[in-house]
Amino acid sequence: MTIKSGVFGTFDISSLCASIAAACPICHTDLGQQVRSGIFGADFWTNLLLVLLPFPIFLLLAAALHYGFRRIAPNTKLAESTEQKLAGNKEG
Amino acid sequence: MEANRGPLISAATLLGIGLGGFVGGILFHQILQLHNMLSARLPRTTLINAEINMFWDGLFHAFTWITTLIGLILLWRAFGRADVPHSTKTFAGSLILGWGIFNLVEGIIDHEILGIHHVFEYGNHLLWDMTFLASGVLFVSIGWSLIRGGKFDRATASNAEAPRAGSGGEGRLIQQT
Repeated sequence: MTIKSGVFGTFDISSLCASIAAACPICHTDLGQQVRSGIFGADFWTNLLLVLLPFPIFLLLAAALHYGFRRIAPNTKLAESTEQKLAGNKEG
Repeated sequence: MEANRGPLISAATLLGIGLGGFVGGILFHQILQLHNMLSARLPRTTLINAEINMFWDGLFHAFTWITTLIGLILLWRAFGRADVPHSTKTFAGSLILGWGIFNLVEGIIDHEILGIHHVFEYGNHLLWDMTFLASGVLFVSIGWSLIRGGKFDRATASNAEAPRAGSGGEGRLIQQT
């Protein structure tokens, strides 16, 4: 990458970020300030806990399914046929 | 080698949970706009409350996305294992099971215990909440029966123990269908 393209690339990214920041509804306007104080108020951590509470339960259930299923011994006939096909492949 | 369906079931269940979460979020929060994440605590009667709810909806969707990603990674790892059968019934059943688990857990915790929102916020929400829970029970039942139906599908993947050249010993030489 040349210095010129690097400079222009940085300028482009900076311009994009600036326009996004200017459009940010919770950053500058009165409405935005009220929304931000509503989100990050005294009950932020309570709300965070309430919203995310199901996810550890999902992971626990998935872990239970992962480790809880009984392993099944192979079917002898099918295992034999697989071995025969394997042997055939090796010969071919 | 013993067949081990656990890794496939857990991966597909997490995928089902994630996809079920996206159905709930996209359909109920955004398209139908029946409720939002904290709409019982912060009713969407003002623009400020609507935007605050939008933030928490986004956080919920972010974690739903992470759950889906974990499911995808686990699925990839499961398919690289020689002892995990490639069973369509088990996979489809686990996806549906995951969706049902999402509806049940979300319905019981968020709607009934915490009461942070209800399926239909602005009326008789009990009927809607119970219907949502019933759909969870139905999906879990369907998913579980499919998983049971795929119990003996273990040979269809025919994972060979012999290593494929350069595969690190986890290759499959035959793929029966």
